Amino acid sequence: MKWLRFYRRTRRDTEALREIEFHIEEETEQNMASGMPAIEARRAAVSRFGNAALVREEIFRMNDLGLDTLWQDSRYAIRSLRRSPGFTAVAVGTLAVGIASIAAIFSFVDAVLLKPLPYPHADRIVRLLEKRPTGETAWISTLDYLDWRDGNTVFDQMAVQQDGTTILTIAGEPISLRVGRVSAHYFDVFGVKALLGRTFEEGEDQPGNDQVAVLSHRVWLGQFGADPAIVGQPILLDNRAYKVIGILPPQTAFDRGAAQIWYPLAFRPSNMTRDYRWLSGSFATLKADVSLGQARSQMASIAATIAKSYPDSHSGWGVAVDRYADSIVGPQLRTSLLALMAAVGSLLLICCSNLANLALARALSRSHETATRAAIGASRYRLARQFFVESGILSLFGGAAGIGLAYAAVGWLKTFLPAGTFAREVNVQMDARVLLFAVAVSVATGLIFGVAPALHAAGASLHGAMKQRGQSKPVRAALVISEVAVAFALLCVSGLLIRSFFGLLYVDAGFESDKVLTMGLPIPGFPPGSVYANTEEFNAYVRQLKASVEDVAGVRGAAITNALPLTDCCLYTLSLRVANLTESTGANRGGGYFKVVTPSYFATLGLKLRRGRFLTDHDNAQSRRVVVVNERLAKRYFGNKDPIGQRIFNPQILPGKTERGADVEWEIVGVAGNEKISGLSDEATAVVYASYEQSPVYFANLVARTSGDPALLIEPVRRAVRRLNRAQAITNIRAMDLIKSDSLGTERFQTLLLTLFSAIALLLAAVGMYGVISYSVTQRTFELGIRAALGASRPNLFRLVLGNGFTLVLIGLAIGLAAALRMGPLLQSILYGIKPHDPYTMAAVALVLMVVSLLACLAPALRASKIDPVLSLRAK
Amino acid sequence: MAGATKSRGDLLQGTLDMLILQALLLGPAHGHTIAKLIGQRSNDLLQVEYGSLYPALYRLEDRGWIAARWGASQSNRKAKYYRLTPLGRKQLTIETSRWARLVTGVAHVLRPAT
Repeated sequence: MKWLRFYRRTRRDTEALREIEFHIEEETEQNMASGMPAIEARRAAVSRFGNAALVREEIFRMNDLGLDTLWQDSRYAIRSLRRSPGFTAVAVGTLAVGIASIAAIFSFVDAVLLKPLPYPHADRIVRLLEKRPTGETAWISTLDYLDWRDGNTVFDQMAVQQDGTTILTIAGEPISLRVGRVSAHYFDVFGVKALLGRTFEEGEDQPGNDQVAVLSHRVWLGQFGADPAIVGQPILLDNRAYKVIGILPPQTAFDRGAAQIWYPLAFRPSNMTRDYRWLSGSFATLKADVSLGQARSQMASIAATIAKSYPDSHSGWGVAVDRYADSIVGPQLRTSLLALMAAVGSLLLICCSNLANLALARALSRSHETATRAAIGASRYRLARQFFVESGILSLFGGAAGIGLAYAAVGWLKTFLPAGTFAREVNVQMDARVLLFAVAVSVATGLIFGVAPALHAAGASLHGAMKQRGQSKPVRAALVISEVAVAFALLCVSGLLIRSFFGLLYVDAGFESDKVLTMGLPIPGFPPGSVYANTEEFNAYVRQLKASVEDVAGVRGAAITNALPLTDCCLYTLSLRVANLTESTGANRGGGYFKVVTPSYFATLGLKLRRGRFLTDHDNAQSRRVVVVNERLAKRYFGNKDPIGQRIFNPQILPGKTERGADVEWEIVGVAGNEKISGLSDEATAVVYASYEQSPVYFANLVARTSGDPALLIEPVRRAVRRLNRAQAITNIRAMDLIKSDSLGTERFQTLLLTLFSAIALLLAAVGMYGVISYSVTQRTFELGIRAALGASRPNLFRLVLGNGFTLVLIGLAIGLAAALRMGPLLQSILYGIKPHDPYTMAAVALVLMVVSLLACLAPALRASKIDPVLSLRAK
Repeated sequence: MAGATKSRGDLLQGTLDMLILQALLLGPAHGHTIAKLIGQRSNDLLQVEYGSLYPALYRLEDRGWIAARWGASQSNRKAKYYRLTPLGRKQLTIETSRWARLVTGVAHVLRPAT
């Protein structure tokens, strides 16, 4: 009802006006009747009535929803903000930076950690992997998977996946695509339906029925021009015809993932092995009434049965069952994101406290205005609200600017992320959730930094405001202390990350990465076999590849390897046993990798020889089997003994097969310096190098050392390869330096961001400190003037002001140090080569902060020392 | 917001409301008449503040105790006539008995001690 009358207020007001007018006329008439002259009668009536405007206002206000006074306040606030453009610009700018940072980081945190996965029943999807006796996970062998699938009663749908590359040939041109070879129920587990056609059906993952393929929307668009007629047509994959049966929808997890095409994973008799762990993951949906715990215990008992039957290879092994959602976010990514979120949260706190400081200073300087308003009848509520309205309007503008900035920032930040940093389900964008969050933060910010001045205004009595000035000193001191503390903690964290990052950047990778060109040369056909009839034929091809690349002008050396450094890809796990040493079973043999190279690999990449010799072209199929091991392996297995001449056993690699052969004996002929295998932070990998001639595998990557810029040789090298074999697909052409820098993508991302945030924090803290000290000097002009008059020298005054500022800084540093010491250990997992309590970093950060705050206090302190006693006393 | 009206005191306001309702018991009247009526009936002891009268009329109208209509006055000018509604009549009895209780109470307090 009231709101209805609210809209009729104007009509009501005219009515009241007419009514009052009538009243006065009536009174005038009566006065005239009692004998007054007309003018006198009218005047008496008007004066008898009193203030008609007040009466009207009171009637008008009966239907006040508080809205128009709010409107008044807002207009007043905007006018007053426009009068101080400096303050407004600084406040809006500070807010925009704070809100943009937190909104941008939140969009990452939300997408990676908070948002549910974009699948129906996402909470029931689990991922299964083998679990080593050490607790680490491993890929899955065919027969283990089949036992899991057939033995369980806890899953509705179950599927397994094997990743690889496939060569799609269109009009004779080979194109390498990432393929997911999957069980028929794979898409059912994720609840994904085809956009066109269908996904796989029961039975299509059996040999003979498996020549069907599903395309991602991206590939459909990129390679087939989004032609709907392709569904039902055959395409050539690895020289075999597959019928396209479906296209997946666009803009989904399956469009962002690594795999671009899927065909069924059909197990052939040759794949039915127990000891060859080649399946990259199994996915299943829990039955509706089954808990994760129940599934884990049933899988554990299945694994125990397998271990009992195959103790040689399986004793101590289990099954890792995890919610899919948990499995896609590694602990390092989680730590990084939470650290970033904490950093932007701290940054926002500094923003708030700076703004509170600024607003408080403004409120103090407006004491007179506040007092005047109070004197003419403004209630304390109205006065306090005025400040809230002002901070609200500032945060509105700041929030709007911040959201705009965040949009740009998210796009910009995404370019720093190397592909594959996040799982395919993660879609980072400024969506409605992030917007809502940003708006909520803006409102909260406005309230938080509005509190201090509002309290001040509400507490200001008429009497007090005229008399005492420069109140709220403890509040302002506390704000400065907290700013310094937060800035210190933030700077410590980013200092640690910067040192860790540069540690990684300049770490010895074990090889020379500049002027090296690399490319992938996928060999089609695995599984089930290869396009090559036998390994001799393949090795001849490898030799020709190497020779034709070496013939290119500008190439100083070329090598082929199954696995490039730093990529953590495509390696054969080592299952090493040392001859005449402790008996060991397949289940517990030491880990590491078996790397296959052409002998030129060592020279091309510049690996360092520690002992013995590298491999040579004379180590071939006819000569005795020899390997080079890395320093770490030598140390781990032979300690101080000379490893040269020692013999080790490792199961033979059967190229193109999903099984390992019997143990074969290798003689160690050389020890190489440690090459970084999984990434620059790799400190643990043991490696054995063997030649293609003695241990052929159907994987090939090219490494070429160039005399100039490797980019200039991309075309000549590509032409040389294609001249040799027109069907050879070429993928991932990159300079080795790029691989190295890409491998630090996440580190670079978080270091860059944290550095940015802490630089802003430092700047804001300095501005805040300058504001407080310089304000207090203004406030104390009188006092300082008296001191000067009584004989205080300029250096005295200077030291006094500087000392005041510095006390605050030191208290802040102490608090910040305590916080940094507590937070440090949480960062352990993302630091490399540096302790979280590194004293040098903390000392350096403290020094930087002290210098910056010294500079911030310098100007006001100088101003204080130049105070002219006469002038300052007269001013009062 | 409402600080200014509050300060005038609830007792006075309630009393004025009651007096207005009582005045309208005689029949519809406009603001000026109501004020005059209250003055006359109290033998000019009570002088109604016009500044309070009109807001009170609007308030009572909002509460539905009185209703208003524009009509012609004796001098043939347009005037706003108020009349008592059934709800207002009921309210008047409530107000009257509350007033009676208040008066009795105050009288007891002021009675010389025995």
